[in-house]
Amino acid sequence: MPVNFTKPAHVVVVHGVQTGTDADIDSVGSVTRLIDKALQRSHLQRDYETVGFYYEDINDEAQKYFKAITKGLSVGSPLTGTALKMVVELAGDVVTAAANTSTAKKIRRKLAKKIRESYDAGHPVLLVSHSLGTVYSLNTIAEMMARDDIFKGDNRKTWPVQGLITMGSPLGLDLQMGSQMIFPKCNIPPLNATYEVFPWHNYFNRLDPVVSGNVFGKPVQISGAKGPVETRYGADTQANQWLLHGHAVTSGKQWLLAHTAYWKNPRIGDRIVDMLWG
Amino acid sequence: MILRTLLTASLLSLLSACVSHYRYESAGTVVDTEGQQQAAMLYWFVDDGRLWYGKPYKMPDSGVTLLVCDTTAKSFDGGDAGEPLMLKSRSGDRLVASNDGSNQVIMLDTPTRLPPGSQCGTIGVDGKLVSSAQLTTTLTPGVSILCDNQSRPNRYPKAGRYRFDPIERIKVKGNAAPADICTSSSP
Repeated sequence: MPVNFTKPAHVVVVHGVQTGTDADIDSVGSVTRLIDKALQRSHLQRDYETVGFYYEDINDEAQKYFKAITKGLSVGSPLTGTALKMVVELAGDVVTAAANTSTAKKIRRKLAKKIRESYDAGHPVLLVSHSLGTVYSLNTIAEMMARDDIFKGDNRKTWPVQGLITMGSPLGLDLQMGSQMIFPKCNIPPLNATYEVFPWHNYFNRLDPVVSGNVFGKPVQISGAKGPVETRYGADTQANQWLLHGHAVTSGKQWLLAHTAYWKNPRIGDRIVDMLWG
Repeated sequence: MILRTLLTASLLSLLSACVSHYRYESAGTVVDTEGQQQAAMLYWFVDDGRLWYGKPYKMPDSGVTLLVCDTTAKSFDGGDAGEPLMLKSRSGDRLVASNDGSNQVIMLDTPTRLPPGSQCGTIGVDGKLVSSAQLTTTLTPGVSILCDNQSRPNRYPKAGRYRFDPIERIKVKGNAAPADICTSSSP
C-alpha cells in the first residue's frame, strides 16, 4: 500500500549497544519526549506514533553460550560474574554487527519487517537510530532500496522510509581487527530519482568516543559539519541521490556521557518535527 | 557493587564538570505566509572549557535552529568546510528571492524550482554571511528567507530579511531549550 501522507507518521526508533534486555531500553520514551517538547515549543499539535525496534533479545540469545561460560568462570565471585556478563553483552553486540553474522542478518530482517508493517498500513516512516543501531538502520535501508518494488525514484509514496536520522554513529570508523573490518562500508544503492533525494541527517559530538574511535574521548578532527561519517559516505551518497547532512552538536558532556546526550538534544527534536511536518 | 557504581557516576560527573555548556539565543519576529507577525528565536549550543585532561576546548554546534511560533523549526546548517550557515531547500521548493551583495533580499520576477540541498536562507551580520562560530554575543544577526513551497505554504516564513535582537549567552545544564517563545515574547 502506498504511503498516505495524511496518516499519522511512525517514528521507528533503533537503539544502540545495550546491556540487559529489551524491557530495559527506553529509547522510545526519549524520542517521544523530544518530539512532544519540540511540538510544544512551537505550539503545534500533530498525530504520530513512536515505534520501538528492539534486538537485544536476539543478541542475548546468540550470546547465551558465551554467557554460560562466563558464569562457569565466575562461580563464587558475583562481582567478576557481573563484569564478565556486561563485557560479553556489550562487546558481543558490536562483534555481531561487525562480523555480519547470521544474527546481524536476523536483526536486519526483523527491522525491515517492522518498517514494512508501518509502510503496508500506509504510514510515513522516519527512522531514528543511535550508536550501533545506526549500522543496522543504514544497512537495512540500503537492502530495501536495492529492491525493485519499493523506493521507486521520485515517487515518495513508494518509500517505506522517508528519511534517516543517526546519532552517535560508529559508521565513520574505518577500523580493522586483523583482516576483519569492524564496520565494513555499506554499499549505498542509487535512489534512481530525478528530483528527489533521500535525506540522511547525522548528528555527532566530537567528544563521543563511539564517533571518534578514541577510547579516551579525545576530540575527533572535523571540518565544519563534516565528521567521520560524512568523510566516509559523502561521495557515495551524493552519487546515488542521497542527501547526507552532518551536524556537529555539543552537550556539555564528555566521553560516554557525550554518547548518550543526543537523546535529550532539543535541536534533534526540532529536526524530527521539521522532517515530518515542515 | 553499589560503591563501584557510585564511584563511576562520580567520575563521569567530574568529567562533565570540566566543560561549561551555553545556549546562545537571539529573539526576533518573522512574518508568516498569511501576513501575520510571529515570535521567533535563533538558538544553538556551545561547549566552552577544558577537556578532562586539561586541554582548552571550545566548540559550537555546527548549525543554528530558528524557532517560529505556530510552525516547525528550521535549521540553518554549516557547510563541510565551515561555510556560512544555510537553510537548505527541500523537495518542491522554489527560489523566490535572492541576497544581493549587501545581504538585502530582492524578490525575483520569476521563481525557479530548486533541487533539494540548495540555498533557501542565510544568516548574516552587518551584511556578511556567517558560520555558527562567528556568531558571538552582542552581534545582531539578520535572517534571510529566500524560498517558498506551494504545496506546503507554511514550510517557510514569508521571503524577506528579518533583523534579530543582540545575541545572548546563557549557561545551561544539559541541552535546555529556550522557553516557550509564543508566550514569553510578544510579536
